[in-house]
Amino acid sequence: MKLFGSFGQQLAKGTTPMLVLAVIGDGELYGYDIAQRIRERSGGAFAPSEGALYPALHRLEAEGALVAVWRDSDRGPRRRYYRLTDQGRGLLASSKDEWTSFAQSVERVALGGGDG
Amino acid sequence: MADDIPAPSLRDRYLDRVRAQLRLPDDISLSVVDELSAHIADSTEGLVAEGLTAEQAEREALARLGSPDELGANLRASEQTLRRALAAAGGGALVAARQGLIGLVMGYATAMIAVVGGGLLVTAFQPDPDRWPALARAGAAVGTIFGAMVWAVAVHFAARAGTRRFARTSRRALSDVRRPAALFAAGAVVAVLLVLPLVLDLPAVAAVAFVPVSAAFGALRATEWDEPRGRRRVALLAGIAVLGAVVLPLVVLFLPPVTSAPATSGFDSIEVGRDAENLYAPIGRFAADEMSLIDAGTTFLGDGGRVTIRTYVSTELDGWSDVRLEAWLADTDSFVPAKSAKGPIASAIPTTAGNILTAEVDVSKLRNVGPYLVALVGTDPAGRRTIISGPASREGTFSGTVVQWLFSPSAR
Repeated sequence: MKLFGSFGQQLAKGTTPMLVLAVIGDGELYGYDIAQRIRERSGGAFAPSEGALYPALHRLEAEGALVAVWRDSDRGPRRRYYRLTDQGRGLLASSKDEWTSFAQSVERVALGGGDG
Repeated sequence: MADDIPAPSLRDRYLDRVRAQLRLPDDISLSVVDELSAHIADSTEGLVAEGLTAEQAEREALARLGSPDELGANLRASEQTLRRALAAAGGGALVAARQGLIGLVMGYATAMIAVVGGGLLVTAFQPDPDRWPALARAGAAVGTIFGAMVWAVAVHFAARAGTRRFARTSRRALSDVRRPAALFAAGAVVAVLLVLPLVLDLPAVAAVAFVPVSAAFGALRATEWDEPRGRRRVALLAGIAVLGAVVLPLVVLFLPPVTSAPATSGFDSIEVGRDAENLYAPIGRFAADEMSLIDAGTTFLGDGGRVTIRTYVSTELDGWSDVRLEAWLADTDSFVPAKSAKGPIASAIPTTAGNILTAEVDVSKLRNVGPYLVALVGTDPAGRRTIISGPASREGTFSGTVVQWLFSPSAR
C-alpha cells in the first residue's frame, strides 16, 4: 500500500500538467475549480496536490499553453480564469498520445498483456 | 492604539511567506497572492460545507497547499522560465537601444542648452573677448569631453529602461536585477571604450570614465513605475541644462585660456622668426646669416600629433652636426617655449636627399601634451646650438584608446 501510495503521488505529480490541460479543455476555469473538476472526473480517486497545481498553471501560462484573465465573481473574491490557447490544445493532444502509449506499455509489462 | 490593529491571520502569515519567496515584479507578485488568497477562501468555504469549523477549514486549506516557502519557490521557478529570460534579453536590448537614441538626442539638446546658457552667462560676467577664443580652442579633447557628456546621458536612459524591461519580461524583482544589470551595463560600455579611439587628455579621460558610471547608475535607478514622462522628464532635462549652464561659465572664467596655432603655420614664419629672434632664446638663436639655409617651398604637415616637415635647403648642411627636428612644450603664446620646458618632448633626426630635408616628430603617444612648437635645430660649424627654422606650433593631444593612453609614456 505504501509503495502504491507513493507511486500514485509521483504519478499525480508528473501528470498534473496534462490533467490541468484536459479539464481546462472543457472551458474557462479558475484554480480551485480545476482541482475540484480533476477530483470529480477521477471519481475521487486522486486530486493534484494543490501546492503543485498553481506552479503548473503558471508554467503552462509562461509556455503559452494557457492564457489567464481576472474576472469578478458574483459570490466571493474575483478569480483568475484560465483557458487553452491553440498551443495548449496541441500540447494536450500530444500529451494524450504520449500517455496512451505509455499506459499501454506499462500495461503490457506489468499485467503481462501480449501484443494482441 | 496598537490594540486597534488586528493581528495578522494564519492565512495572511501564510501568504506573506509565499510572497517573500516569489521575488517577482510587484504587480505580478500581488496577482499571484490574490489568486492564492481566492483559492484559500474557496477551499475554506468548501471545507466548512463539509462540516469543519471555520478555523479547522482554514488550517486544512492551507495544509493542502503545502509549505508556503516551497510553494513560493515553485511559483517563482514557474514564472521565471528560460523562454521569458531570452525574450527579456532581446526586449531589454531593443528598449535600451530605443531609449539610448532618445537619450542621445536629449543629451545633445541638453548640452547645447547648457552651452548657450553658459555662453550667455559668460558674456554677462566676462565680456573680455580675448577669453572667448580660449574656450573655442581649449583643446582637441574638448570634443571627447562633450561627447562623453552626451553619451553619459544616453547610456543612463538606455540602462535604466533596459533594466526595467528585462526585469518585467523575465518576471524578476527589480531588486534582484539592478546590480547585475548595473555591472552588465558598465561592462558593456567599458568594452566599447576599450576599442574606441578617442582624443584624450586627463580631463577627457575623466569624462569618458564617467560614462560607464552613468550607465551603472541608470540601471541602479531603474524603478517599477513608468519612466519620467512629460513634466517630470522636462524638469530633469532642465535641471541638467541649468547645471551645465552654471558649470560651464565657471570653467571658462576660471581656467586659464589655452591657445594653439593652426597646424600649417610652419616655415613661412621665417620673417616672423627674424623679428622675434629673442623669443627663441630658450632653444637657441636664429642667426641672420643662416637664413640662406632655408629656401622657399617648405611644407609643414600636422596630423594627429605627427608633425612632418619637408623643406629645401640651398646648400647641404656641410659642417653642421646634430641636426634635429624638435618639439617643445609651449606656453599659451604659441611661439614661446614653456618656462618649465627643460628639453624637447620629442625629436627626430631628419634625412636629407640632395637639398631636400625631411623629418617627422611624433607626439601622439605622449600623455598630457599641451600646446607645443616644433623647430629645426642644429649645431653650426662654430659649435653653436642654433635654430635653423621654426618654431611652428600646434596643440598636441593624445589620440588613441583609453588603455593606450593609460600605458603611454608621460610627457617629460
